[in-house]
Amino acid sequence: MNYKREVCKVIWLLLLISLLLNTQLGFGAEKKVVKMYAQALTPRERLEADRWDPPKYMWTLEKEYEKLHPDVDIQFVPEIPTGYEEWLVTQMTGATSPEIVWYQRGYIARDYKKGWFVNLTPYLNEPNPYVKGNKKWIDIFQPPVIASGTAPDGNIYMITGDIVGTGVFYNKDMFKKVGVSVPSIWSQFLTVQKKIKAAGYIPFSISMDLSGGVQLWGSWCTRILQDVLYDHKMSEIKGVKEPVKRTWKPGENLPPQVMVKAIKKGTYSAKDPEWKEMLRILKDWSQYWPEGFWALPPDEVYRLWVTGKASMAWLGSWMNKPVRFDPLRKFEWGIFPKIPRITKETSPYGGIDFPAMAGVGGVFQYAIASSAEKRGVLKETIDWMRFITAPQNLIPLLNDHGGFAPGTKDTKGADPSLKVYVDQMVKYGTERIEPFDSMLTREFVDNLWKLLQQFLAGKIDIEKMTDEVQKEMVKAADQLLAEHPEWSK
Amino acid sequence: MNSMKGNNKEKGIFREILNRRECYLLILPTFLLLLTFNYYPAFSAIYHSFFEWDGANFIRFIGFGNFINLFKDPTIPLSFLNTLRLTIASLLINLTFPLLAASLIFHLKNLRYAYFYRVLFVIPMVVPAMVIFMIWRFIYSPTTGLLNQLLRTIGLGHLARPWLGDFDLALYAVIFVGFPWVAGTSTLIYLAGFQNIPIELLDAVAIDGASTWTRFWRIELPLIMGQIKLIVILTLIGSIQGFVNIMVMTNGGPGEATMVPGLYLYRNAMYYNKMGYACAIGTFLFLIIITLTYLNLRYLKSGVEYQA
Repeated sequence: MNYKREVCKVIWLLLLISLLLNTQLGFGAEKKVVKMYAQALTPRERLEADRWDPPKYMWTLEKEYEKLHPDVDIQFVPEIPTGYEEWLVTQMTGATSPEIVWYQRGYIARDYKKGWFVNLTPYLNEPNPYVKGNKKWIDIFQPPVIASGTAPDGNIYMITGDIVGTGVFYNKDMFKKVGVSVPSIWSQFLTVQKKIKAAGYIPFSISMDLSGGVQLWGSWCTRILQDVLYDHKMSEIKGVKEPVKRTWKPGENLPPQVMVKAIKKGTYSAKDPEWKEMLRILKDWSQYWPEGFWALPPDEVYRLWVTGKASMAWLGSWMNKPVRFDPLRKFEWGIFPKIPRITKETSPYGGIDFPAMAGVGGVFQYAIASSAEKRGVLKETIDWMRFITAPQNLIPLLNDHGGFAPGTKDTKGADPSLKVYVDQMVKYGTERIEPFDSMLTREFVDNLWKLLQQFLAGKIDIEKMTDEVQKEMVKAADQLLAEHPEWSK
Repeated sequence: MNSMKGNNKEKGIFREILNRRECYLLILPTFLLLLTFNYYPAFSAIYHSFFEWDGANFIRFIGFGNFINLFKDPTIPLSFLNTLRLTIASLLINLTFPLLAASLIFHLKNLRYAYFYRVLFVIPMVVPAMVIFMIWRFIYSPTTGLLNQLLRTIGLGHLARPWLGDFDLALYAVIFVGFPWVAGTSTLIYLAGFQNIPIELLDAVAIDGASTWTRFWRIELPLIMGQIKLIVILTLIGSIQGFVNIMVMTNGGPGEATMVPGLYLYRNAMYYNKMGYACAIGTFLFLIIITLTYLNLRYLKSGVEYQA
């Protein structure tokens, strides 16, 4: 009996200790915890396998903030290298997500009705106490940047604070060796690649693999090509008389509701000659891509280029720092920030420059989970966001990463090497037509990539491809109309 | 009278439980965890398969609507055909290579060697499956992959290809992962079966002058039929439900060449907000697995259960 009593005593004691620890009594119980999933800005120590320094500046900001607000504890969720979307859906469904999550701004139109995220419009109209003289937080951002987080209901659900760009990274030494120079038009671009291929190198490193390749490069290729090839038809698709000019405000020209209407009206169809022309150009170009590009792991794209096996790779501003420091690179390199123009000689629908393959919202695109309100930490979460978006904090934070330009009006101190991407974006604007990633449904996009893969690999012809895409496109438009009946008005 | 007897019996059971409450309290957490994480989600999935549900707010009862859509969906037959191929291949693999390995280890005369090989076959199990899939993905890489490099080095460059990108070979490339398929649980289960065979019986077989093949086919194999049955069930369940290898290596591609129902379910649930439809696919898989398990238990005889 004594033995039983002793066991009971121990169990009670253990329960009491765990209760104390859980409620954090005596261990800073007053602190309010704000968790953040900062994606590529998540601070961490350098590991042996790292070939360049990982970002750490969030720790500096955390310390400064906690000094100002001793009652708040900022915590960072470790970076999730794969399966982030699945993780997020699960966390959101279970209301267990961190208070701040990284989120693709384009998906807001798809998900805002789920009630996952806090409507930030009222908070953006209040002053940011960390910016001297600021009356409205929203005013510190460049308008297209912050507006990119706007959902179809007109409210802003995202804090977008940076600008990202892409460009063709090329091996200068290899270009010299083969005797080619940076091309300015598409036909030259193909000739350069032909010569590089004849010299025994891979001309253009790219992946159309389903585990990340086609979602990135397939999307970039189709977006810029469609913008050029459909240029003469933009007004008809939009249902307006005046020309549709490029801007760099995402979704400004052809938002989802416009695309859905155009698909239903038939003014935009995969059976259009412009669509087929896009496929012809891609197929023609693909002869210069790596062997089996539709099964090439996306990581290999950079590796092929940096190890000198491939001459060019379409990468982005986020690779600026890695390329500079990567010990695997043994050659001089350069960037031409835009894919060369398709002229009328190459295509009857050509003749204008490609848009800049750049945009707002790279690493700094965060949403605040509704659960923050339920946990009673919304005020602290908003305040932390105000603190890190203040230019004196945001700019060193982005500089520390090295791959993204600030999206604030005040850019003093920003990394000058990224200016080229921003200039391109401002000069040429971004693509007007974006029917894929964020405008229609994810199911449509997945099916599109599967079909594109089959087409580029020679498994289906152009007719079969466009028939199937058209079917999927109409299905997606119908689904969106059912979800948003107001769009049919 | 009968009801009084019944009441007494019930009281007896409750009294027994009360008397042994510590034991019941100790197993209670396991039961609660099982109910919460195994039974509740399974029954919830069956229930939700009758709803159009986006996993968040929208939910509407649609009866058998999801099941009707399932039979109209062109991806479903294709994915089930792939699963059938994978299942047949997995059964063939699990019923041969690990069995051979276990038999060879069992018949090693030197016990130290037997122990050494047993450990050798177990060590790879420590490596997470995900790592193995990632390594094989790089082995199959079309440009820098080990397999193609090897083929080119030995003058068979014409055979090099994008293994995971070949529409006709991708599924077989996934099946080939883990070759020679001897390291793993199956080998250990077979080995346990072999070790359970009484040594006297094997001695008697030796004295009778039976050949190695006769001994294996007539004596050992019937005596490990219980293990074979278990392997068959585990392989069936694993092949029908599993999709991690596919997701990591091909994500169902190229095109839909390696799509399987598990991955399609996952995509519908996680990416397309079609939780109700995903539940219907899950329920359908559950029905298939339970039918196959029943058939296996009913028609695959366990052979002789030796009692010492």
